[in-house]
Amino acid sequence: MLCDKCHKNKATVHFTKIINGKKIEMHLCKDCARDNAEINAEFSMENFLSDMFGEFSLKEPDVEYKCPNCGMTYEQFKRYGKFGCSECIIAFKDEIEPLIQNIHGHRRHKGKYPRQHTDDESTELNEIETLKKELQAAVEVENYEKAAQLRDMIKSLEKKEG
Amino acid sequence: MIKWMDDSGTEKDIVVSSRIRYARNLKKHKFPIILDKKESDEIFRKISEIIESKDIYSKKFFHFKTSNIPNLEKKMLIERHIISPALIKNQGISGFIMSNDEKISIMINEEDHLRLQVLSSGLNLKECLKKADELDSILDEKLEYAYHKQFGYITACPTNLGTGIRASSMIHLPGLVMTGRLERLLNTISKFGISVRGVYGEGSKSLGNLFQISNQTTLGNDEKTIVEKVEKIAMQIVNKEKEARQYLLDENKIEIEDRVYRSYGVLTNAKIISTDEAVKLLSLVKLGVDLDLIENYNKINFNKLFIEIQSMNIQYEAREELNERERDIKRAEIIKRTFSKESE
Repeated sequence: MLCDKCHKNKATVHFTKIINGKKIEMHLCKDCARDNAEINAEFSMENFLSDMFGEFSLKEPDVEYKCPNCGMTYEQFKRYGKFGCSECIIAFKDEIEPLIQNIHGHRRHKGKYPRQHTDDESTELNEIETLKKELQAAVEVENYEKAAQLRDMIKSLEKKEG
Repeated sequence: MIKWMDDSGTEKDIVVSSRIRYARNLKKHKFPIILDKKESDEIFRKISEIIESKDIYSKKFFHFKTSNIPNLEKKMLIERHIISPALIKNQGISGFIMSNDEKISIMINEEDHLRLQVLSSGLNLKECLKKADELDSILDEKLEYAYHKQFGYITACPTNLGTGIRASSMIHLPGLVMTGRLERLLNTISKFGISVRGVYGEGSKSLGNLFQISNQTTLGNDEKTIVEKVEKIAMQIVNKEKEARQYLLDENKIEIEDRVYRSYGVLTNAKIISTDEAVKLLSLVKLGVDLDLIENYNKINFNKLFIEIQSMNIQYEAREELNERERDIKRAEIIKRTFSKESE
């Protein structure tokens, strides 16, 4: 196959672009590919992410909604795959939580926290962890009544934390 | 000279280097993607002042704005794994602080406000973690980090949320590559949330049999657990590599010797040599030295040499810009000099 652009050299770089469900294919030689900005836009986790947002966001908002702190819109965030400030994550929480679960396999941080962060929140975390362990144990001995109670307790604690 | 690559760490025959990186952001500032010059200067100043005011392992620190550094030097620092290409992309707003031994560096306004990095030769992740953690705590005393009780440290990209930690090791695996065992091993490893990529060369191909392994996820496990997992898997890979090398010695000694000596022959006689070829051949000669197939070269720090023969480092040491041909000639000279010096 010859290069789509120069029609001289053999095409060795095959590039597929999907925009709004429409597939566009490009076959280029090494030299033309080097000059093509789209291909050179490094394949990065961020690009990959911005493609994934479509799949995981629960709702496509009609009104453009944005981070009240820095003004970054959700659309912009999807495009860059990066937050504009420390509050974007709160503004877009509902949309990105499933994504975070998908990336990390977890929804909740464990580990170091900053000096200014108070300890009681981490105690609360530990409480949930303990309850979860108890829940697992209850399920294992088939004590479903206790398990249901524990499940509700965990739920209400998690809700409280938001 | 590449200073950070000294004698610390274990398993230096196989593990080239270890690195811990923390991603951190400041609560009250816009993140680098929408940051303006004025605010970026303020962040740089804040961080600089803290580093200046503290005694950190009695090290001396140098502070740089990326845009003030000559191009050649920037790229040389990338080849030495001290700064990243993304820092240069952001050079209007970015900067970095580096210890005089190059082991500790802080990239400022790269993808995040701060990227703390601790480097070591060999397998040394736990020690790197300890240092990174201490440096992070020192900065935490004076800065207000962006943090969310559920999502942990808030990073610019969701892939770094939680601990913001990346633990990585660079490993030299000629035995696994030659015995064809690497692929299967990598498949198993990826199931443990560890990613592997080739260090030199493009895509999944690796020149010089050098691979970097690192944790894939940052949220849900604490720092110690993550680092221990990477180190444990690195150790398992090291053991598999040792087995593969033994297998090669037992079953294909002549063939291995042949490849090692041919590589040695070319490297020590070449007048002009590309980076790709040099990296490939150095990997084999290093294997030969590690397996005692070649004597007299035990003192050569091959891990360092891999970096010294990269294009920007050659030009940096030569103190001038060189074209490709001139670099290839210089490269052959450096290699020859290194070998003749060490055999004396």
